[in-house]
Amino acid sequence: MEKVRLENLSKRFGTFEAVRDVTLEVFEGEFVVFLGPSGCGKTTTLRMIAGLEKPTRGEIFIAGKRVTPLPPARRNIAFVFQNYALYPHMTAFENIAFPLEAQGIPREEVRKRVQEVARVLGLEHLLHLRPAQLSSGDMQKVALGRAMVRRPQVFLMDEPLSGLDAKHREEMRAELKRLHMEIQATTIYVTHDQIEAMSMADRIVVMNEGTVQQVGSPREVYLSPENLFVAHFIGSPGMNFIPLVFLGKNQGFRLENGDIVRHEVLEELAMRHGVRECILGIRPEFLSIGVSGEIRGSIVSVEPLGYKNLYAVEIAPGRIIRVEDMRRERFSGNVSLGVHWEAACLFDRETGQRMRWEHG
Amino acid sequence: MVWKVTKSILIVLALVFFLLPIYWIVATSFKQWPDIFAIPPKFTFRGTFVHYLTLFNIRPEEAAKFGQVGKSLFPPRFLNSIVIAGVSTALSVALGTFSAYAFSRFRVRGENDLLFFILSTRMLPPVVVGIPFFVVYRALGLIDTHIGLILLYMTFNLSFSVWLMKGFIDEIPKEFEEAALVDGYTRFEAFFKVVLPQALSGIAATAVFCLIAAWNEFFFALILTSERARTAPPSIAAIQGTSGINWGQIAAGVTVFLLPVVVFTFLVRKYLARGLTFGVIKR
Amino acid sequence: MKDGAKLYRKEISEYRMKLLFIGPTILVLIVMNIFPLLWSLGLSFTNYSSLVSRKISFVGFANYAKVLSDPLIWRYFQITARLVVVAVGVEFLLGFGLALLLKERFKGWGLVTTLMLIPMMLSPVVVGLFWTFIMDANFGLLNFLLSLFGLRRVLWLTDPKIALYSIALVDIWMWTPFVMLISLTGLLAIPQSLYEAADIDMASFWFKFRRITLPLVSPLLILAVLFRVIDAFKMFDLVFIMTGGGPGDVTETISMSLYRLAFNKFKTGESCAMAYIILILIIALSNLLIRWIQRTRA
Repeated sequence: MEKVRLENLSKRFGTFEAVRDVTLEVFEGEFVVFLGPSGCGKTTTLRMIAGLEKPTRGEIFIAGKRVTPLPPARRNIAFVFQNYALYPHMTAFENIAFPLEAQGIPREEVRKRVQEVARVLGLEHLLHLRPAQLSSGDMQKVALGRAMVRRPQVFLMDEPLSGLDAKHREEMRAELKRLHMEIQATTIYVTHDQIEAMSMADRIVVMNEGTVQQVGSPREVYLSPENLFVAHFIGSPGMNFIPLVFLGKNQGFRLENGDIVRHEVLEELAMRHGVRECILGIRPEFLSIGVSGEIRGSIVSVEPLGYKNLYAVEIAPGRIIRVEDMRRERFSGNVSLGVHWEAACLFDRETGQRMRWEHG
Repeated sequence: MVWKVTKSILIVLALVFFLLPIYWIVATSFKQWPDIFAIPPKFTFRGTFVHYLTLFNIRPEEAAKFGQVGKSLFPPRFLNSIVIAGVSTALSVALGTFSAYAFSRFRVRGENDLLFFILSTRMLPPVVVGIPFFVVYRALGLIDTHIGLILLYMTFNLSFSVWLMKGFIDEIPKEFEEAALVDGYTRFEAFFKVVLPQALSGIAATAVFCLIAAWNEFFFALILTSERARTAPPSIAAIQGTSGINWGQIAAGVTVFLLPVVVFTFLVRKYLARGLTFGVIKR
Repeated sequence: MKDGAKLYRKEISEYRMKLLFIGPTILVLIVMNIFPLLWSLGLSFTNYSSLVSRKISFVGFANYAKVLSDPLIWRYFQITARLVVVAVGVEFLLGFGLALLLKERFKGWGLVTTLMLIPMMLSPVVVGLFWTFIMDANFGLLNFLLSLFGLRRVLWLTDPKIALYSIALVDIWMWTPFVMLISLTGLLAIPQSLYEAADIDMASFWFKFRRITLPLVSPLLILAVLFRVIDAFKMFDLVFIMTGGGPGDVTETISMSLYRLAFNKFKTGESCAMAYIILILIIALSNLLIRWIQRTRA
């Protein structure tokens, strides 16, 4: 059952189009992440769903009801701000109690619900403190508590973890995931950090320059990116892009260094799409260093990352790709790289789109 | 929508309330004598410069028409105001900037107490302080001297400029001086070469506030001067006529006197909140 | 490459620099403030008169007793208090109200706000003079405006029942912009996201005002009011120019009466005593202000 539906949502600021034609469905209980670089429109879209910005075009539905003209107060949503937006002159308790008091709920009931939320978040011993006396992690929890205490239809979160240091961010990520599993609330979460997105989302909405690039599960966007942007943005280190020229049926692809590479399935794909200039996308962990492989190159540098080594390999003048290897030995010099073709993607160099089997 | 219109109306009403009196007196300074006293008051009229001419003694003979006896004493008093305000401001801003720098950059023992002592001197009622000053000045022969008023105004504005300048200097990053020190300059040279140029806008703002305060001052000018060193404010207040008060000339004097203040207000509008609360509030 | 020897330029010690930079200021303030104050403290215990030349004799606390037991002084004190309460009270309400109106920017906002701040930058003499003109019973603008609404003309400065409030009106005209400026600064400092969060939580307009706006603006508001109270208490120039304490003595503020005592009646010794009494009062008030400033700065 759908909880939130966006139809052709657009927002223009003067001549700048921040959000262009976003159409999306979010289902009951789902954790959806809007992911993209800064300025891609994800926060603006979120704010439109909250009612903090008015869309230039398009409609928003929450639980089947058209909320587009309604102010935030009438949408029964909760919003967690990037800078927490905690009232500095009130204690943590009063901050969390604020939304309930705004609705005139009697004091006893308020206290009960605040205590409950505080217990879930582990804040009981901090309730009497003011925001200035709390760590940023605790402040974030109070902001979360304020959102949770109302039991809204949808939780909207705007980069809530960006103000925390790396260690706390990890803890809060786990905490949010746990909460989501416990409460099963529909959540729309905005971030530019793809690790956050990958670890928390049921589905990821990748955005760039105001438009939706791809919607899919973390696995889908990781293994089957729709275009070069998604392929590059997701994954750390990012996907390798190797330019190929398709020479024709049964003739294979030519690499930049002049070598020829043959792969029946991919050649068929390029044939079907009639594309000559291609890009082979392959992630570092799907390449292996060996003696016999499809791609020749020489190792430029190695980053030892503990349990794995990350190699920078030059396969053509100026073309350096990354290869991940889990073995203990350190390699160097000229190598031959083996390609795990089942994980490879073929992109049209001109359009940036991935070539798929079903014609779109 | 209704609220927006109401808001605009209220704001316009407020503007009228605050600006109409000023407009009125400026207009009066250009009115012919009978128009000034017209009932009902005239909003449109034939203008004339005669009041300015009599004020500045360019056409002193006209003054007799308005019941004034003798020459207008305004020009020398106006000059006194300029000189006294200018010199005292220069002195207080200079001293204030030095002290502000020291308070800002060095650890001074009892800094907070000193700063608040400086602030408290500004809180004293003029009338209370005026009597001892009158007595002392008389004993020292400082009554009706330029030096006397200059010293006094400098003192007033000193506490003010220390607080204001400290706020400004606090905002200049220390790294610039530290870089200069590393390059071999002494603290002294760093102060002149690095800090002062960056503090210029702050100094200008502080100077304007001091100028306005000294310029507007009335009470001490009244009791500590009589002839030679008298400034404009007591002078304007004393413009009399023998047949009714010479409102035309007073209006002219007032207009001439408030013009610089209006100009200066616009110049320092960015710093107004800061200036009026001793730098406690920075906008 | 800097010559090694040059690096050893004569560096003045930090202590000396502090002395050089702060010393003169403190010296000036002490000489110009403390010294006269001490002198007049001494005078307050004598029967000195700056006019009459007679033998100066020590009278102990006689002057203080005279001042403190004079019912007229208490009356003037009350008059001053009434003036302060009325003037500052209205300034507070009007100023804060104006600030609320000006909270959101509009076209020409900068110009409008600066224009409204002019009244408080003017000299009290200037203000007092043109308001006297405007309040003239016959040809004054104010009575004309009243007549437009069919109201009778008012004797602003000559009616004993009204004169004090006329002065309050002028003070309000001058200083409401000050309260407005400070309140506005406070209002603009409240982050917009706090209101957005409250909107999402379905808070009504009054709820937001009561729970967010007021608490966060009150420190600055109180600061403005304290400043004004201290200043209004000291008020002299306006009263001197507009009514001279009259008609009769209905507008005789304590500053005005002190002036009269010292420069009309030339009872210098006595006036020094009265000045000290007022001084102690003002110091007490100022301490409040200073304490408050320290609190808000923390």
